[in-house]
Amino acid sequence: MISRLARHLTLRLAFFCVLAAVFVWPILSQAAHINEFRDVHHLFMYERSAIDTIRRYGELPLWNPYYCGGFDAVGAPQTRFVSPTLLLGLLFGAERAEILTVFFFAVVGMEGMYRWLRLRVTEPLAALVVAPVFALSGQYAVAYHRGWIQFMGFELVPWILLGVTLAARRKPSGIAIASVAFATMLGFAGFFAAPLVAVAAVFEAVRALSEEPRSARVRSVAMLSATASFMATVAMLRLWPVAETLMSAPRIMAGTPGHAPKALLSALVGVLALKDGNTELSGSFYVGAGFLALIALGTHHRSALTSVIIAMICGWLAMGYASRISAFGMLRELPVFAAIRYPERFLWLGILFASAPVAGALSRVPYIGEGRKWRFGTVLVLAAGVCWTVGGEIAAFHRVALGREMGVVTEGRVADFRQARGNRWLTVHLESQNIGSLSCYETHRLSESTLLRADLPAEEYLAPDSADAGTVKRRAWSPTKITLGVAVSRPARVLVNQNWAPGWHATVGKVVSHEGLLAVDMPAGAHEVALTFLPWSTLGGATVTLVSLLALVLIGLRARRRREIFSRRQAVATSLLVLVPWLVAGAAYAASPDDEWPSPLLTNPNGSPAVVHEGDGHVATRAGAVFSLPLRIEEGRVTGPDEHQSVLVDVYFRRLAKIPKSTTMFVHLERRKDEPPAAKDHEDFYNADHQVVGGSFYLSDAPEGGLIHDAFGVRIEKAAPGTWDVWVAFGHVSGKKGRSLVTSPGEATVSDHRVRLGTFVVR
Amino acid sequence: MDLPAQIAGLFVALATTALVVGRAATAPAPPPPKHVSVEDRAGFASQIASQEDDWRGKAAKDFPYDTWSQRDAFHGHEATAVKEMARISGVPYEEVLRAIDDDLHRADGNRRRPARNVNAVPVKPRPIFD
Repeated sequence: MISRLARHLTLRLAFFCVLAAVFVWPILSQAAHINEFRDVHHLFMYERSAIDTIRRYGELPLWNPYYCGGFDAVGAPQTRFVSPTLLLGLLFGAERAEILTVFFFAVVGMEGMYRWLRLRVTEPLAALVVAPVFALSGQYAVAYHRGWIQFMGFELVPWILLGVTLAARRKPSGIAIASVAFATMLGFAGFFAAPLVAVAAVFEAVRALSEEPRSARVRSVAMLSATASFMATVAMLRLWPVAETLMSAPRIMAGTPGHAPKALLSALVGVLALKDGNTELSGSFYVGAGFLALIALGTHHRSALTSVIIAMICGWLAMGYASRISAFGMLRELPVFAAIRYPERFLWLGILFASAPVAGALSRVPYIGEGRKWRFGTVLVLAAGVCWTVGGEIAAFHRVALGREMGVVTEGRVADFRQARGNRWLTVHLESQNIGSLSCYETHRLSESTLLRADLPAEEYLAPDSADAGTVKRRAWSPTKITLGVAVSRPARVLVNQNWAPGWHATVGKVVSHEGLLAVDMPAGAHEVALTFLPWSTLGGATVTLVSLLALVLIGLRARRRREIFSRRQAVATSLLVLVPWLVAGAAYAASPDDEWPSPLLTNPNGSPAVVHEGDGHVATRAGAVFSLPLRIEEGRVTGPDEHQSVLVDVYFRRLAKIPKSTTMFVHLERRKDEPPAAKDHEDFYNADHQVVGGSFYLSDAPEGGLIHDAFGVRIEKAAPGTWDVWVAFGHVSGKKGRSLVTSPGEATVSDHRVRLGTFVVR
Repeated sequence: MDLPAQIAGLFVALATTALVVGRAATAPAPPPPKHVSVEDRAGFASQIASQEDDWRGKAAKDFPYDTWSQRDAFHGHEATAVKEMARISGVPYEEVLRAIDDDLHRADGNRRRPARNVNAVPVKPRPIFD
């Protein structure tokens, strides 16, 4: 009977709501406070300023002036207000909305899991009991503790997979479900989840296709293609602006993160606890040992095979570079996937796919034996195992959520917005004062003008070369509209102490980028000029989203009458409806009146250019050594040690042909062997290997043939006195290990296929 | 039999949601902040200013030839000091941050201390985080 009741939506929702309420209950009393964890500050401030912009100024929060000198808020990958959860913020305020968002996402996640499990598990009760395991798993506790509320968007992954399978089964509702869920996830800042979703969706699509009869597979592939297309176009409101941002300021990730199987096991079954105010890997994906035992129990049946294989592949991906053949490393060779940082997040997908065999075990094991007692007993034991798991997850959430450092935001806004030096570790406390923070951190490089100042008497002023031409006065200010009174005797440039971005327009004069600063070239005379931010990427993206939703409605209406939307008679009409959003997107892109972002500045961490020209005046020692990879070190220089016990290394090299992304520069700082032995607390070796030039581009993306200047500092605080050599070589960070051979030493000293770049002396 | 059960389910779902929303909406708000005198603010600002050279030195040592990381480390030290100062004085963080900002916006203050990180250093996240 319980099984029959589980089929009813309202009863399931009652169960999930109660569970979600237990999940968040102790934290509700802290709802008016904010989490003071470091990452929270900019992430929470994004949401708070969006809500403030709507409530206080009655504007759409398209521009955020409160951080890093201002940026396109819709185009920022980590803003989460382009989603229905914004309504919670508008109703209850940003602080109180946060835990409510967790509550609603948990309910949505459990219902999504139930529906997705039911695609392959016939027993409703089994799906009902297992659904919370993924939706309440340990990583949500970690995310909440760190203020990564946007990670709650992972709760939509089961919905996307549900849509994918339904589409493969040629049900048009699948296209709508996957598209809307994906668009909501991206609107809720799901850009970290998106690459993982792509992997999961491919697994799911392949599995769903394999389950279909051969005769129907062509139509299923057409349905899946339409699903992929609509997932992109419905999400275009977010995808277009974010793509524009990331192309102007790409996220570069390097390194070879990896975890041994034992570490991953501890992430799944270990106790999630706080250490020094943060969570560790142990317990960070907590599902408990009982859940793993249930997976093992579920593998007894053939139907569990694909789920188990997919879960194991996810486990392999989660190992990162720790496995001999790295699936994660191979994935990172792909363009978008190169920016993934944490391989262990694939455990999330592993838990999701492994939930199917567990539900299978719950639905089948009671029927292995005979008699009511056996059935009742096994159901009780298995359900108790899952309840134990979910109980452990809830306890873990409470433990880390209640261990957060809590603070309060005090309102006290200055009348006139201004930029401050600020502090990105406390930035939400500045936004509440109507003050911007130039101190800035994001996971990608932001286009930030070096002319921004935190000490100006006025935020809008005449450029130095026209400072004597007249006056500028602020008449009105809001985040997306600045009105100025400008009186100038000759054409003059007005500078605004915020970043320029495509989408700023002026009612008089012409908006320009003044070394990255927002500026407007004004004609002579007295004018009132309004600067407004309305980017074409958001307008165009919103139009494509609307057209896509309309096309989906039309497809839905046609499907009610004709069921198969890719039958021979319907295929052309359906294909046209799939293509229409792309045609609108193409037309909108071609019609864009906005200026484009300039190419990203390629610099080293010390600000020096990373791509230089022969004869630009740099002084370095000639090397001319050629490697088999093919790279040539042209020159090198070693400076220091300086007063901070650091040396500066400058390497000038060229990439002569295509090289793999895994290419790494090995840098060894080595004390000469003929020096007397180093004292115990002294070092005689340092290494500064790297895969990325100055945080700007991978070695493999260096302009072919161009002269690359790679400048980096190495701290040698404990270096033993004596003469040191700096050696440089090339090789691979993963896969084929070992050094590339020096095929021609040129004028350089070579040892062990390393080129000596220079020397320094430690006294 | 199913219809009453469904209605009961809907009621439980709505009641639970209402309970959660109600508890979040009525959670006690923080007490009103303590007012800070002009002298206190000046004290905060001068205490911060007096430590800045030290923070800059530490940051330069920890992140050689990496301007954004140095600036970020500087702000890390500053955040710790702001929190500590606010905790000892029993005032919100906003008061200390406003004091620093007011100080930096005072023309005479800038003449007194020419290098106080009032310019922007564009963010350049390290490709490998430690």
